[in-house]
Amino acid sequence: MLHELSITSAILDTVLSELPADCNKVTRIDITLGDLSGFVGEHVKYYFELLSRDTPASDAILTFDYKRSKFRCTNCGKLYERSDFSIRCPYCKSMGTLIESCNSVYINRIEVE
Amino acid sequence: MEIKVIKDVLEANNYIACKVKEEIAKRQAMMINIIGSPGAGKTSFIVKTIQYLDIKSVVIEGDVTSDIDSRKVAEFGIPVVQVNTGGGCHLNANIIDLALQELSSSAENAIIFVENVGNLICPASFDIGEDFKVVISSIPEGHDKPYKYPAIFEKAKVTVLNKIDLMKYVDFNKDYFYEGVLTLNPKGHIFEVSSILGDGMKEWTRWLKLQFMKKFNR
Ligand SMILES: Nc1nc2c(ncn2[C@@H]2O[C@H](COP(=O)(O)OP(=O)(O)O)[C@@H](O)[C@H]2O)c(=O)[nH]1
Ligand SMILES: [Mg+2]
Ligand SMILES: [Zn+2]
Repeated sequence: MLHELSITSAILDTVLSELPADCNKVTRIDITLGDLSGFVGEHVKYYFELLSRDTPASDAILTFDYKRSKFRCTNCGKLYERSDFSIRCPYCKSMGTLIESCNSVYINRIEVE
Repeated sequence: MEIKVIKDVLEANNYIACKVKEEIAKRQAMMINIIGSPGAGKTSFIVKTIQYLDIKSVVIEGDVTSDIDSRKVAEFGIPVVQVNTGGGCHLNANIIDLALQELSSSAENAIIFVENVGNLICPASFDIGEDFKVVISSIPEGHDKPYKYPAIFEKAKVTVLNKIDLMKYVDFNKDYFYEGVLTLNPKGHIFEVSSILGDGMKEWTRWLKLQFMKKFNR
């Protein structure tokens, strides 16, 4: 099983709770996905299609803005992003520390009709 | 028409988690959310920890459908409540809220150990009202867990490196593991333990007891 089922359900609930009373169709949902969350946009889309059936959001287009966490090198002080298997500074290969963590899932804006 | 939202999708869960936190404080208790892959040693670690502790303890066992682990815990005479997610791969605050009602007074002046569902992704995102998270990673799983599942290593106050007794049989680069954990979580605590032999359990439970005493200025 993919891990995105409950987060997708939370996305749908959030969107529907934001829907003004006079709207009956959501056309677009812009989602911000932090890279540390471990959630994959394609998997969210997959579940969204299943979960949104028979709701006002069933035809919505989902877009994902991936936010990348930032690390600061403890040696040279440069900011960097991690790669898949290294968390070290790519410039001088020293250790760093996480200074801006992107680990949540946000709804940014929605478009409705 | 466009609507600006800017809303964390886990707000509803976080709201219940706050309520659970208050309830736990009211009971003068502390709750620890134990997270790790299947087989990392969560159940063994909880049982061993409670054997080393001289503090009243209760366990909430989260599993997808089975009750094997809670029966194992009960065999040691430890009070335990089983909760099933019915397919879900993590616990959420609502499930814990209900379990606490079931535990009622046995969860007073106690440490509540929650064994989350074996998974390193979703449990990192879904708070359950815990005082802190403990992530368990075991030697045979390899040294790259913090790199593959960074969120949980960032969020867990404690990283437990379990099955340290197997170190001599496995090619495990401890420096690489520590570096991953400490880069994500410079203030994190790391304990090396064997949940079978008891290695490292004194250090860990001494630290844990201190947290419990500190919480209510006991
Ligand atoms: N050698 C060794 N085996 C362990 C240790 N901790 C747990 N195990 C074994 O690992 C297996 C899985 O443990 P369990 O506690 O059920 O893991 P869980 O799925 O995370 O709850 C069991 O066979 C345990 O006996 C340890 O520290 N050393
Ligand atoms: Mg278990
Ligand atoms: Zn550097």
